[in-house]
Order: sequence, then structure tokens, then C-alpha cells
Amino acid sequence: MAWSTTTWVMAALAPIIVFLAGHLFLGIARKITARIHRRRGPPVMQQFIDVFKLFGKRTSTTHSWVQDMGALFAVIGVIACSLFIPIGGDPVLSFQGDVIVLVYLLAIAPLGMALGTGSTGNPNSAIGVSRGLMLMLAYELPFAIVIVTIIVHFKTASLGEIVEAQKGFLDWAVLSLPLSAIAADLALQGMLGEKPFDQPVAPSEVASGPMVEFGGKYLGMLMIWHAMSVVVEAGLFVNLFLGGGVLFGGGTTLALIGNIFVWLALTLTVFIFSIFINSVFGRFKMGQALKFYWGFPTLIALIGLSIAVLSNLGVF
Amino acid sequence: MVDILSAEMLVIIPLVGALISLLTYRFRLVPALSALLSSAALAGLVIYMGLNTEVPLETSTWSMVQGLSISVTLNWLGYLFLACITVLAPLLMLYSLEPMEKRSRGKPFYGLFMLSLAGGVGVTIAGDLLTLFLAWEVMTWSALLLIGDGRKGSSRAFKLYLAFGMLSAGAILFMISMIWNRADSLTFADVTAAVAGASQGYQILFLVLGAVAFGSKAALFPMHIWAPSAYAHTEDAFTSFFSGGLSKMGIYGFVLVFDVFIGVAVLTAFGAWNGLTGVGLIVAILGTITAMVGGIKAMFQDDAKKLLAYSSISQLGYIFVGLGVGGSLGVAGALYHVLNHTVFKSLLFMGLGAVVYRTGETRLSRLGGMIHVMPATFWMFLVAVFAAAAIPITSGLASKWLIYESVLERGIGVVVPLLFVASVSAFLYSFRILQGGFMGQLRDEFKDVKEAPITMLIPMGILMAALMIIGFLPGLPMVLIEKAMGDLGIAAPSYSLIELGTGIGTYSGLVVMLSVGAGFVIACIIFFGGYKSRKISLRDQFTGGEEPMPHMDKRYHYAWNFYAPYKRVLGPYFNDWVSKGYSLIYRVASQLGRLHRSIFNGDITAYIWVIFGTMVGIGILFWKFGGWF
Repeated sequence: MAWSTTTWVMAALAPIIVFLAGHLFLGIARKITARIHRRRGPPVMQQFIDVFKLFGKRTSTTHSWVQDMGALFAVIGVIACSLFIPIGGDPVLSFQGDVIVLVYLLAIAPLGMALGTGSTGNPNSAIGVSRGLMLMLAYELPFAIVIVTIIVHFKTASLGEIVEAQKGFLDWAVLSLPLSAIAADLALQGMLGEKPFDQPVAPSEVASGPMVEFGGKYLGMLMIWHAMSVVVEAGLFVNLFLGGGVLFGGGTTLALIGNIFVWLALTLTVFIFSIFINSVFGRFKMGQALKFYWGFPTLIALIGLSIAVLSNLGVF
Repeated sequence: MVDILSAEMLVIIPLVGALISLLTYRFRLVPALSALLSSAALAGLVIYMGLNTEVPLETSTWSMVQGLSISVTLNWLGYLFLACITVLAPLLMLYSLEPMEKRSRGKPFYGLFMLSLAGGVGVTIAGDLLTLFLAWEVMTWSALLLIGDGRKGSSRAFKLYLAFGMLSAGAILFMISMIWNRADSLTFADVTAAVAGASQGYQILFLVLGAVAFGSKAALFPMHIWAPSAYAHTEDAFTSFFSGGLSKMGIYGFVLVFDVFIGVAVLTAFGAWNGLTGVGLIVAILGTITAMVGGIKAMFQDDAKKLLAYSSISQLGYIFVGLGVGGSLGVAGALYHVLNHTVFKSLLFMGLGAVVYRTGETRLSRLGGMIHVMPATFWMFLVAVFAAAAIPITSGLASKWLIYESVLERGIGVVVPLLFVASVSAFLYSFRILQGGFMGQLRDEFKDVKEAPITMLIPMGILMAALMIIGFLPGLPMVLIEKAMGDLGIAAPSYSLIELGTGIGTYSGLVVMLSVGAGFVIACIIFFGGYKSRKISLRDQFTGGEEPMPHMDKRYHYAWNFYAPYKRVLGPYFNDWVSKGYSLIYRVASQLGRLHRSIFNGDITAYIWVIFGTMVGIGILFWKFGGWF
């Protein structure tokens, strides 16, 4: 493995970029939601303030060592994921693990967190986690079809190569595979846990679900996880469909920095789009979520897949 | 004098062990020791053979009546499956020392265990179909006698297993007669030649019979219905071997039929596209359905052993997908998953068995909080769960990844989304069993439960270490798989010790592990850098600031009717209609039996009429259609 200096630097920077962007995005999202609701809303930096406040709390309680482990796993998983997502066209480590590996890496954090929350013994958290997993089962079908479509279309499973194949604006997968992009965005809504798919944390039903027994630095860890996973998941969409934010060619450091900001801007756009949906919708019941995801999004994802397979065969 | 490094030695050792254990089954320690020592000797021999590349071994043949003969040999393909069961066996013998101490006096547990091991070994070293059949029957019947744990439903489990054992035996016998008619020899080389020279109808019949004979052992849909109850009702110590080891013999037989006897060339003649044969596609789709049905049924189980049994069905479905898709990646993925599943499913059943041994309870709704009393068991169980759910820090991902890529490489992804769903259902049932069994609040009656005994923890620890090491070095099992694939005439995919590569992607176990490690360091700095946390009791829960009842221990564990919203939606679609189909066959058969009974009612004149009628019928047949015979 002959890694270039850029790879090393980017691997070191990736979690930091994702961490900072995640909290900033959530702050912006809170502001936007407030404006849609005709409130003033908290300052944009509120998310940072919250996390630092939580880590500054002198009292935090735990039920067992598994709860500690769960909080750790959540952050471990999301940091590992952030290393495998191409950022601004730079592949980071994505040539060492392709998109299928990434899909499974994405599961470390929720499963680890599920362990931690389950061990607290509060039924609300177990209900919340079971809802989260059920939701995963629902959105994973259209999402998996989309992933297959992408792999069939670009003939590679490596995220780095997928981003490279979308160099020009006209090569963006959102233009060549529009139906799959819609299905992926609908799946993303569930992945981000925004309404109408916020059943796992539904505050009015299960008292914030998984977080119910988490306070102080434990809640802080979960907030870091949430903020970072927003960027990882929305960023995955950008890499798959929006060309990975590669605007400036040339391969210089300056171009890379520019591309990182383009990538962040696109990621923010994708996230804000989901926030728009979030702020005007109610919440589905679990069964409704399953019926929804295995219905319309799966159908259009399948049509998208058929188009990709047929065009691969040379029918179009 | 028999040579130590010969194929017959491989089956003599377990047979001797079985014989001693069977004869002395009323004693306390002798059967256990004989089983432990003979299985350990066998494992040592197998490992020695593998490390010194003594394989392939020479064929030894013994002639019998009518030109029939028995022959044993060993090639690398057989070795892969042989290694699975023989290395597992001594670990399980050690594991069962303590639980079996108190139970099943009067039941020759170790003798039957060793006999089934000997049968399994015989299957992997068989050199012809007859030997395969004999060993197959030894394995099936000795396992049959271990079904039945005295709980409700075990007699049904016994009968179901019996029925499918008969089905499988009948199918193999039919295959033998088909080959014997054409070739007058049953050695594998002659079988291949006979099938290759036959008509397409013959080949299809042979294939279907092979799928029934061996697919039923590996619980391929729709022949999976015996597995959940059979696995759930065997002795806890044997379930690991049953599900982890013996089910692989079905896979081995299927590989023999599919890739050795029939082979890609014949399958391609039935129609193929881009290297994917039509028959292979059917197998892959059946495998996908198996994976889906197993996974989704597992989510809704309350009995933990049944849950793991369904999970076993689901995981074997992946193997069939890999075999069906075929090619370099598909077969490699399937064989890799064979190794993986042997380790993690055994570990899962062993971990659960430890809990059952200490608590006497398999219902998840009655367990809970075991992390507080059995932390070591929990850790090992957790690693196995991660492997079952294909989380990258264990060995589980490598094989599933190869199978996914094998399908995607064909340029069509038809079954991958459904496999993904099956894989997510693995997250769900994994959490179900972790939440129900190990997490949540500890019940009062289990407060004084002790950690599993050391004789149980050591074998579990060895299997856990294997899962972790292969997680680091996903190329390690490929060394063996490459040799096994050489016997099938298929090139292995490119790999190094730390990295697997396909035409479309890469999976580097070490880099994934290192990035998880980096995440671990950063997370620990953030977490342990802060203020220390205070430990509180499990009873200390958020209840909206109220205190709903004085004692909140019993009602406060959410483990009953898990995933109920999905049960309501998915239930009707997974409503055991396969079982209903089988019971329809049963009803028809029993009606026919009643008809039969009404003719043969003990009255001698009825018999005479039937004989007379039959003879007349035969006469008419000969007169009318005599030219056909």
C-alpha cells in the first residue's frame, strides 16, 4: 500500500471535516426548521454549544459497562465510515473498501448504539431501537436496489471510481439515473431519521427512544454520532449521484480544498432538502413506513435498475 | 497394518471412539473421555495432513458382492468440509463435558455424537456414490437419535427430520440406480462420465434428485421446514454440530452434484447468459428465498434456539446463491461462507447453550440481563452475532461480500437487493436475541446465576479468536479455498493475506480494522477524557418523573412480541404456506392409505380378488402395449 501524502493528510482530516460540518449542518437545519415554523430559532452554533455543554457535565450516569461500550461504538463506527467516503473527489480510503463494505460499516454505529441503549433496561430505548432496525429493513430494499443500479451502471463498486466516472456535469448519475436518484433520496430520508421516518426517536411516543437513559457525556457521544452520520449519509448520496463535488480539475491542493467545499455545499443542500420534508410532515406508523418503502420507492428503483441493466445490454 | 496417513484412518478413529462410547455409555467419564480423545486425535491428524499437504490421499477400495465396491479417498474439496467438522468436534466434546455430566444418563450422547462425526467424515472422504450413501445414512440416523429433549414439540421434530431423512435417502438411492444402469460403476469419475454422456432429461432428473437429496440436508427452500424444530429440540451441546457442522455435508453433496458430476459445461448447454447458467439462476433464486424466509421468520421467534435455527437456514441460503451464480467469485464466496458459518453458528449455539445450561430457559421473553452475570459468554456471543450480521470487524463480511460481488459481476443484480434485505433481517434477529437474552433488566430468579464454566468458555474462546483473526486477515481461508477450487477446476479470485479483490471492488480487512481502531482511539479519548460517570442500578429508570409501581423488575423488560408492527404487515406473507403444502401431501397420502385399508381389510377373498385383478390388468397391458417392453 503506497499511500500518497494527500491520502494520509485526508485520512487524518476526514473525521475532523465531518465532525465540524455535521454540527454546523444540524445548527443550520434547526434554524431553517424554526423559520419554516415562523420561530426565530437557536443560533447556528447551538449544536456545538450543546455538545460541549454535555461533555462539561459533572454528573452522568451509566447502568453498566455495556452502556459505555454502546456510546463508544456509535462514535467508532461513524469515524470509520467517514474514512471510506470520498470527500471532494479525494477517495480517502475508499479504494480499500468498496460501497458494499461501506454499507456494512454504516451498520456498526447503529448496532453498537443499540447494544448500549438496550442494556440500560428501559423499555422505551429497546422499543426505539427495534423501531430503528425495522426502519432499516424498510428503506434498505430500495436503497440496495439503487446501489446495485449504480454498480451495474458504472461497472464498479468502488466509490472512488464511481466519483471519478462522474467528472463532467453531464456524467452525473442524477441525470443518467433520475428514477434511482429519487428512490435513493426517499431512502435517505429514512436513513437520516427525519420525518416522516423519525419513529425511533419519536419524543412524544417513546421519550426520545434510544436516548432516554443517556445523559451527560453519553448523550454527547450520541449527538456526535448523529451529527457525523448526517454528513456521511448525505455525502454518500452526493458521491453516488452528484459527482462527488468535483468542480475544479487540475489535481492541485487548492483545487482539492475548493472541491471539499463544493462537496460540503452539495451535502448541505441534500440535507436541507430532507429538512424541508421533515418540517412539514407528520410521522408514519411503523407498518406504514414498511408499506411505503416497499411500495413506490422500490418500484421506481426497480424501473431504474431495469433501465440500467437494459442499457448495459445495449438495448438503448 | 493401516497407514496412519490414509483415508481409511480418518474414519477408523471416530468409529473406534464411537464404539467405546457406545459400549460404555452407562459409565460416567469413559464415554466422554473416549469421545474427546478420539475426536482430538482425528482433528490433529486432519490438521497435520492439511499443513503438510498430504492431500490428495490415495484411493483405497474394497470389493463387495455383485461388482459393488466401497472406496475412500480425499481431495482438497473434501478436505475443506472434513476440516470444518473434525476441528469443531473436539471443541464441542470439551464444551459438553459439564452440561452432559448432569443430563442424559441412559442416552448414549457421546457415542451417537461420534457416530454422526464418523458419518460426516465418511461423506467427505467417499470415493463413490455407494460409500457416500452409507456414510450419509450413518450420519443421518445417529443425528436422528439425538433429537428430542423432552420439551413440547420434540416428537414432531423427530418425525419431520425422519421424513426428510427418508426423502434424502430415497433420492440418493434413485441416483445410484440411475448411474448403475448406465455405467456399472459408481466411482465419482464414472458418475461424471455417465452424466455427461446422457440425455438432457436424464441430466435434469439427476440434478433435481441431487438437489432434493442434499438440498434437504442443508435446508434449501422449500425443504427447510424440518430444520427449525429439529435444531431447537436437540441436546444443546449437539445443536452446534448439527447446525454448524452436519448441515455443511448437504452443501458438500450439492457441490458434488452441481459442480463435479454435472459441471458447468453441461449446465451451459441448458442456456446461459454472461457465464450465469439458467439452472444456476434458479438455484440462486431458491437460495435468496431461503435467505429471506429464514431471516424474516427468525425475527419473530421467541424461542432462542428456534431463532438461531431460522438464522442458520437463512445463512445457508447465501451459500446456495454463491454456488448457483458460480464462477470464480461465487464458488469462492460459497466455500468461504461454509467455513464462516461453521464457526460463527457453532459459537452462537454454544453461547446460547451456556445460557440455557445456567438458567434452563430458552424463551427470550423469560431471559434478560445476562450481561450482568455472564459477561464473558456475552462477549463471545457478541462477536459471533457480529459475524452473522456481517459486520466488518469480524470474518462475516468477507464471504457475503464475495457472494454479492459474484452476482454483481455478472452484470445483473436481480437477487442482490433481496439478499441485502435478508442481511438486514440478520441485524434485526441479532438484536432480538441480544436484547431478549443479554440486555435489559436482570430477573430476580437469575440474580445468582454464575458465569459459564471454563470448559465451556475455552472452546468458545478459540472459535471467537478465529472469527477475529480472519476479520483482520480475510485472505487466510482463501489458501484452503483456492486448493478446493482447484479440484473443481475453477480459478480462485485474486487475494492477498489482508485483501480480497474482484473485478469491481476491493475489501481490505486490515485497512477496515485499522480505521475502526483509529475510531476506537479517538472515541476513547473523547469519552474517557471527560468527567467520570456514576454507576446506577438497573431499577433506576426514567419514568417521566413518576414512580408507577413499587417493584418494577418483572414488567420492565421489553422482549415480548418484538417487531410487532412488522409481524402484522409481513405475517400473512410468511404464513408457513410451505408447511401447509406438505400437510396437503400428507392428507392425500393418508386418504390413499385409508383406501388401501378398505381393500386389504383382512378378508382373504379380497386379497384373492386383488391378485386376480392385478394379473388380469398386467395381461391386458402386455397384450395392448407389449411392443413397448
